[in-house]
Amino acid sequence: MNVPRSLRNAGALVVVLGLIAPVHASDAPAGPQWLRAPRERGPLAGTFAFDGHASWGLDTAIPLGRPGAAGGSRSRYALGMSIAGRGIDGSQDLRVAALMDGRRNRSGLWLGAAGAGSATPGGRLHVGAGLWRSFAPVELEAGVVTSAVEGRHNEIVSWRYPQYPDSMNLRDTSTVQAVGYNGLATTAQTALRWHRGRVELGTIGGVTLGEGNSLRRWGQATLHFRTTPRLLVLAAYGQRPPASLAFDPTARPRTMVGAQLALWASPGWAMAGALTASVSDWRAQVRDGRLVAFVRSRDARRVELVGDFTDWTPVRLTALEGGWWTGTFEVAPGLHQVQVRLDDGPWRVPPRLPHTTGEFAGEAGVIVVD
Amino acid sequence: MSLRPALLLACALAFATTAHAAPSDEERLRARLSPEVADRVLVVVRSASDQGLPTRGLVARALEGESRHAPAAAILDAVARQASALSAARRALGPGARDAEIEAGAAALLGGVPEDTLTSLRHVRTSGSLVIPLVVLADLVARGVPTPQASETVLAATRAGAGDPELLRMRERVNQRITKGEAPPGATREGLRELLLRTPWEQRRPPPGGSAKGNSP
Repeated sequence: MNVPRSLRNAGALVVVLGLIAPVHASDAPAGPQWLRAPRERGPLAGTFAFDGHASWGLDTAIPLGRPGAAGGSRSRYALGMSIAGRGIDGSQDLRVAALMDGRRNRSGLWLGAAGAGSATPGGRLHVGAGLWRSFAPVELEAGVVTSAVEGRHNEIVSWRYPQYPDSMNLRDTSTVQAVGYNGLATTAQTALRWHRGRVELGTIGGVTLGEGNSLRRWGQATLHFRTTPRLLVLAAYGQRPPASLAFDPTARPRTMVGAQLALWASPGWAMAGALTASVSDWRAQVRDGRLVAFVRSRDARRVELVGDFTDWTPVRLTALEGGWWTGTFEVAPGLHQVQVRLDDGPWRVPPRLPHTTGEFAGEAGVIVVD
Repeated sequence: MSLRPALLLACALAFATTAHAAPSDEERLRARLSPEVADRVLVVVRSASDQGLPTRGLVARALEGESRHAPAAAILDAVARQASALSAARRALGPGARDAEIEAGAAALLGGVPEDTLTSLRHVRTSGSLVIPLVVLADLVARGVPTPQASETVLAATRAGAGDPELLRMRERVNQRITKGEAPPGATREGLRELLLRTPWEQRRPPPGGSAKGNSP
């Protein structure tokens, strides 16, 4: 097996970190770094890396659907595009990719197609699909990529002809010719990642089944460290085949160090409307004249509540485990109005509550206390 | 100490403790609003109180305006509209209407529901609380269901004997359909159809003036 022992140790470390890390309200969005990056750092980023050769990449993502319609646990979609190459002029190993990224709060899937230049080994066309699931702080990802490959291999051509005229003795002649071929190769891969705060550790490994049923195992360990909202430091140890690199603009085929720079990391960016934190659930209990409100939002860093029972003064809720936030309020029997806000975003109606037309700030949710 | 002075003292202490624990409406308004605005809001609040209307919503409306940094004129307009809606709701629901019903009725009126819908609801459900039907009605209107259709839907469901849980379930189903992209009128029609299919005939309320049999909540 080609996977080095150190790589297997890195995988074990990720599993152990996942098991011992306390599970609490996550302060980072879920999903693989390479898919969630546009959400964190803006619409466009450049990646520069050195793995023995200088290489570069540019990637962007465009939100699809109505901005701001990300309430509840509804799916959100984005179209991602990337281009990457080696060398200063980019003429070597050029590859372009487009993918559709659909996500819910803790899971998602992607479908993509990628092409590579004629000088790129390992396939000119890749079609892939994958899915991921977050069990914060650990994430699992799996994917399959089918590649149209072309290459040359040596083929022995032999024929026989009579050694002499009118003779039955045949002369055996064999020659070796380089023959081009087209075929398909399939790469199956799984990744295990652990992320907390600014750090993400991961391992990715898989097998590539190619022409002639040749099987190749491969693996790579990765480290991502976000130094600022605009700068992500990258490092990798091990190998990844071209099919696995095709859709990930931060990935490189060999052990490398690099950095990703995003120039437009601003909360006002258009993507923020489509991929903002969302409230997935709301519960309320009344005990002894006190309303205990529970709001669920795994991706929010801060959750606030206002209502007539707070005199419309925002009250910050307390984080609990599992993405839940809570607060306790004195309430009188009767009809009450309530709104919640995530990360200083717009005030919104908690899920499943009846709406009522608001006077000053949109609609509010209605609570009836007996 | 005789019993009567002791009781008076206990009541006075209880009143003083309550007054200290929860600031009065006037104190809350004066703490947040300018003196002129607070005075004008208090005039509306006292007038509503004299009419026997619930005033909690009026105070909350003024404080909401202050929290949202609304100009004084907008705050006073909103409070006046709320007071007018409370008065109209009580008129439509009858003098026996409870505070929560009046507040829910006022919210529906402010959403654009006509007064006669509230009166019709009272005739359909004579003995039970109208809070949930009114909340559902206001919710449908807020979600874009045309007001006449929303009114007809809640009236038809209530007339069919649907209790509060059934009405809330219908609201939830309509909401789910609208969220999935269905047009509000179609979603509401479907929600009512499902409710009527699930409500057994024996539970259905007879029309007003008929037999007294029904399932009052």
